[in-house]
Amino acid sequence: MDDRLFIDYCEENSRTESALFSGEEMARILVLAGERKISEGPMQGWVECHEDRMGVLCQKARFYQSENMVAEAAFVFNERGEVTLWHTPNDRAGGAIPDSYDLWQFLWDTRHDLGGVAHTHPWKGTTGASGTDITTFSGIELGLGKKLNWLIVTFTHVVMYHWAGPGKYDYVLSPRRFRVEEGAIEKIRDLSRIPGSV
Amino acid sequence: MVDPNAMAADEAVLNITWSGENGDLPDAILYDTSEAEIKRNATEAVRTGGVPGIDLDETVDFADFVVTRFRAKDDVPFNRVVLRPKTPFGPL
Repeated sequence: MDDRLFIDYCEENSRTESALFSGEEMARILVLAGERKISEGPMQGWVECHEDRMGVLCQKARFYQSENMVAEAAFVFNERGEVTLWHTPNDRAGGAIPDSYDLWQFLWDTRHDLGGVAHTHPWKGTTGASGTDITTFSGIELGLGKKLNWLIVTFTHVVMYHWAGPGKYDYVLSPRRFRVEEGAIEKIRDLSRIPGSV
Repeated sequence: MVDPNAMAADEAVLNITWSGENGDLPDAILYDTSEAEIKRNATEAVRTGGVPGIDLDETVDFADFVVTRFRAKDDVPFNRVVLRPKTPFGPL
């Protein structure tokens, strides 16, 4: 896929470069790229673009099949697994939960009893921590001076990461499970299926 | 410690968080200082023990931190710049 194609499409259609695209738009983009549609079913996708001194570069893109529009969601939990904050900012999209000063302030204010953060990768199947996730895990733990449990939830799976060291980005899948309050996993999945819900 | 009453309108207090501690840089900075410059100054300050409230740490690393800027307002009558960890999450 030509990354430049996405930028041109975004500019022509006044879309942000990290936007979530509907199945119809994805089909149109793929046709423009001279590629076959991945599937006949509903499809969504997003592209993450960064601007550096060389210009705008779209580094990654992902497409998946989904019957509903989706968006990432997160919750914060304490050391007993109790949910202390549901984080569903208005500017979230299927591709990311954006940086938030308020979220950081909440983590700082509750650091003494903080257990970790769960967020969704809104698709079916397993998943892994992205580069964005790992660098966020690292930054937050370095800021707090405390190691946390990091849950990532898809519509079918839950994985957990923790820091194993020695490097600051050396996070691994944890073989153990951190139990969060009953219903929290299903609730965050529901929040990820309906963008803009509280 | 920075005296907010002595700060110019284009200056700010730089607040830094690191390793569970928090403190203000003793000297005011320009409000529009670039993020890169802020990180350089903050790194040097923490590495030399120059931030009251934050222990000296030669391993300090603000690579995954970001800057948030706040203009003066009624209840906080001076500009503030906050260096804190970033918090985005995403599958990419």
